[in-house]
Amino acid sequence: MGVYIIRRLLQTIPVLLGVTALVYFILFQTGDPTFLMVSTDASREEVERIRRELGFDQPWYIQYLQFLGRAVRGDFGVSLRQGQPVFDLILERYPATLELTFAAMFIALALALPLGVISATRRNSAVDNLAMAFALVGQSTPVFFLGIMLLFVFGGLLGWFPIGGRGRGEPIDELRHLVLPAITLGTFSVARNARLVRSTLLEVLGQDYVRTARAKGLTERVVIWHHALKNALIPVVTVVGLEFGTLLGGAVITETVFAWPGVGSLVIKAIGQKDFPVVVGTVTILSASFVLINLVVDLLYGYLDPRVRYR
Amino acid sequence: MGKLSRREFLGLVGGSAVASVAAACAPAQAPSAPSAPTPSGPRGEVTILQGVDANTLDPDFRNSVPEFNINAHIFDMFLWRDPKTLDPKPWIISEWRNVDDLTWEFKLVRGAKFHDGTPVNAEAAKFSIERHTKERVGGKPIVPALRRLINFEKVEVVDEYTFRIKTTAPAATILDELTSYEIMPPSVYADESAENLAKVAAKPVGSGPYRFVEWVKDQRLVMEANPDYWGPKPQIQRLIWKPVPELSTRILALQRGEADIIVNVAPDQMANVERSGNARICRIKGGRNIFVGIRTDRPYLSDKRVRQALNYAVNFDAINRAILNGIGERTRTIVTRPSEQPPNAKPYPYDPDKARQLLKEAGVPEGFKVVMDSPNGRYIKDKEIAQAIAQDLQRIGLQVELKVLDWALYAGDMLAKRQPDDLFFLGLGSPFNAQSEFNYIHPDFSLNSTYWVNQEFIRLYDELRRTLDRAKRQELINRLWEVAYDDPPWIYVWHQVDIYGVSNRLEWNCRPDERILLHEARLRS
Amino acid sequence: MDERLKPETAVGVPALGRELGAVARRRARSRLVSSLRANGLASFGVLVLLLVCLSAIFADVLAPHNPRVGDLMDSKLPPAFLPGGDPRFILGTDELGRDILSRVIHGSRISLLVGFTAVALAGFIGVVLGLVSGFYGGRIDDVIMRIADIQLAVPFILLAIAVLAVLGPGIQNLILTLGVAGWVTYGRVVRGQVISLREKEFIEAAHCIGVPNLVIMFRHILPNTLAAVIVVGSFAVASTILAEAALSFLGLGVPPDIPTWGGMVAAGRDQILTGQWWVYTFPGLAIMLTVLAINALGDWLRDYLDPRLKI
Repeated sequence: MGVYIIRRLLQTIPVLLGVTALVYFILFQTGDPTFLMVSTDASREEVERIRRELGFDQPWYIQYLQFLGRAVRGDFGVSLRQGQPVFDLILERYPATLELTFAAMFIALALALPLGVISATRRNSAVDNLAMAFALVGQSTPVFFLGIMLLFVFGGLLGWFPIGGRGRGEPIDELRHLVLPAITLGTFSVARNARLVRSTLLEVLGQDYVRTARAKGLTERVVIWHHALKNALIPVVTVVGLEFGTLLGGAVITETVFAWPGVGSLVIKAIGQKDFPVVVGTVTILSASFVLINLVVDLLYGYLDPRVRYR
Repeated sequence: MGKLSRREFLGLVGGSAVASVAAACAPAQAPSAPSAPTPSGPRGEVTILQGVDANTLDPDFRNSVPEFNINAHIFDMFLWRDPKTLDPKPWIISEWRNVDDLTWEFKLVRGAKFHDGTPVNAEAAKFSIERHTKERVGGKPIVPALRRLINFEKVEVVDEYTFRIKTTAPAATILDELTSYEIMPPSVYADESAENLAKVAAKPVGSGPYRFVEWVKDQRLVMEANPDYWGPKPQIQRLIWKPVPELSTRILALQRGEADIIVNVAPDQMANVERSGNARICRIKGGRNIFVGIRTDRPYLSDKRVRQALNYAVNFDAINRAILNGIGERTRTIVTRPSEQPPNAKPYPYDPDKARQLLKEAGVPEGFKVVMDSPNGRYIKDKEIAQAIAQDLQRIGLQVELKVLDWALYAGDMLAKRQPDDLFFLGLGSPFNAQSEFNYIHPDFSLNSTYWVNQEFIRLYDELRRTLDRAKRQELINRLWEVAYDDPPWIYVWHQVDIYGVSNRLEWNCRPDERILLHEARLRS
Repeated sequence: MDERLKPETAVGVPALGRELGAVARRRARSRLVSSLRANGLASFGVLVLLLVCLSAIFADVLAPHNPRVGDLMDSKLPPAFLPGGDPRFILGTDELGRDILSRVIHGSRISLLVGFTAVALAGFIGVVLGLVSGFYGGRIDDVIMRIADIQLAVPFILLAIAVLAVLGPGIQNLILTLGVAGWVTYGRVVRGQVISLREKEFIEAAHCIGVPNLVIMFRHILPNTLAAVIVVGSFAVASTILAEAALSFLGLGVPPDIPTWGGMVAAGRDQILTGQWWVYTFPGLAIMLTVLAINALGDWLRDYLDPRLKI
């Protein structure tokens, strides 16, 4: 298993190289950031001088190689606009994004499991249809719209939750700030996971060992929650791993609506300002997280499905 | 040039110079906590929501309004701009005089201190002016705009509180410029190592009415009243600046009492803000000049009659009523400072028949095809106004294809290369002096993509730059506007009205220069 | 039985016919229809989708007004059935005085166009790369799968933001972005199927009698993967329509005078606070119903074609 992990980690290297090269290439297609860095009263000569001195007159691959040279030594450069090391900027915001992503994931699973189980065990009943209709509505609402609606109703009209931003450190305050954005971000996944749980569970319930368990006289609850669900979870876990990427991406919009100070708002601002080092750094970190999470997911397989052997 | 003593100036600013330092030292109080502060002691906490966070608070790397707003509280700008007349007024520079056409002498207030305890003196002023006019800070290139704008030659210390700026040519706008530049402590900023630059970018130290406390990026920036402030004492104990990009979120926060000032309220949200009963609207015509630039190097658009026709075609009243809730006014002149405006300036009237007539005279009665660019959400209702203008132009026979662009692409690429499409919707913030405003349509201005070259205009502008006499300048300004009106390089649209939402518990007034200054603000008890 | 065949079921027929190979077409059809009938949500989906397609096709006839140009005099009128409404504008107008109904009708055209073409493009790229990858294996497989990893690792919305910020807005660019960004799922699904298929006897037999690789790939393997592709695609159409809405929210959608549902909701989102609910509600409902319909149909298709698909 150690060898497996090392092999998987080594495989991430070409992925990260590809990601960063892709980002560099795309960003450089519409010119360099100089013009956005200077104030409106800069003269053309001044803009030109700054472009030259910052090395933006070089072709993109030269700049990319220079970036790589530094990155290998752990130096992601300094933000063009914020004057701070990129790595520090990302580290500052990373906890907020992780907090939001995991909270959303938690909500997604905590709601999806019972929903999926209920509708699978009572297939085609009114409860099933209601649960699935709910899931479908959740899956068909634009994230930004849901977010503003939740803010309006639960923050504005009812006043149950604070409006946007992140708490100041006290656990209760943090939690109150977290609830609405986490629901907003998690809703899409609730729907998707509930439907997935339902369909895999339906499949598993038809299998021999479930029939055996029932024949042994085990209660339906034990059969479902103990025997069937564990097997039904395997595909769910895969999807959760992939979904991590979706959530990190979806967080961009949720973070904008709720003024959540995460990596998403950092990167969207950086793209807008063409703050290349920040964009590249963030995408690298996000990609690395994604790859790592999926490695963990694959290892979880082993726990859930003993047939899986790591090579 | 005017000259004011420090006493007169304090009267203008409206603050009382005598305040109890002991009371000002009181710890921060929660806004709701019952307290018995002395009348002049700062109290309470005020939260300001801006659209984006600051990138850097280093005075020579910042370039956005939110950054300026924060810095204006931690630092002192050399001069202050009067919110009514828009004229420069004394601030930490208490008086000035022209020694000769090329030499300006400035006196600083006495006894002011930076937050690290070092004195505010002529040495610090010299250091700051020199840093503002450098080409590089710590090896990083910056735009020495000040150097060019005031024809800077050098700065000299005369005595402890007096310094002189020498220029290579007459610098008529030097006082205007100094309203936007910070005085900084050499003890903190002289070290230009990478580590120190990164540090000061996030932890500014100035001499202003508020001291920096903490900055959690994209979350909140906290500052506290400076009890040792040399000028009118701040009345609020704590200011918190937060970035909230989404307008709905800002409004809800204001309505719920979680914010005290919010920026960029849309015109159609004004009633909604006031309906909550705990907030009001503060709106003011600002200096941001909203226009549609015309590529005069393109076919048909080179003809001034066509460009006049475009101006006549725009039905601003309808735009104003439908999109702007009636708060706007069509541009009368691009000059914003009341004391400089040409007395007889009037806007282009809405006259579609005349527009068609002009197109006929120009030989294109059947119209032609144009592409129009617009930013998205950068200015008040920008893409909506752009769409309405496009519809107006279609009514006089043009075929308009509208392109709404992301700012990074629009400014970072098309404007940077000076290659926008035939028509381009844009807004330029005002420096509040006519000379700089006319510079916006001068061929040398880096953002000017109109390719408009009018020899008469250029000749008059050159003369304006060399003239210090006020009456003479006014005459030149009047004639410059006549030229720019008759041979328009832009479709003149409007000067943006800035709309703020303000909590009723706060006494604060908005300013026409897009700046949020709480120097005189106070909480109602 | 044929005369009872509803026209809408014809959508799935060609693919199914091939998939089932020897099974009589008639029997397939009758099974399809009765399966569809048994599923209430799916029949509802078919109905909604049919309506949307009709409105897209006949938008020019159905829409009472020009969707792109309005009169500022008619700005912000409420729906005709409310006080202050104008009988000319059944669902009211937006702030530029454009008829909401006409924009929703024309919006179906753009939203479906974007949804279906982007998915078709993604499907095409994904199927070809998946086929090649699975069929040849080895180094080609490695390269293609690494590229897939790269794309999965970069959060989709970031990729879309970067590409659109570079290419500029517009329908073609939007389709291109969504299409190119979305191929990975198809690629992986097809590859998985190809790998299991290529060991099957009928493929080995084809190799033995000297059938060229290309013919084997496209004539013998491809049809067997189509069921999975159709199911993946049906879900992707829905998420593509939502992605368009998300990009509109970030200001990267199509130009605002061209009506799209996502763009309309995004532009009207601030009206949640002002009570001009008609501006966002009708396009929002259109998105919701359409996405719901497509998802319901996708669910049913999956159950019908291959219940073991984990999507």
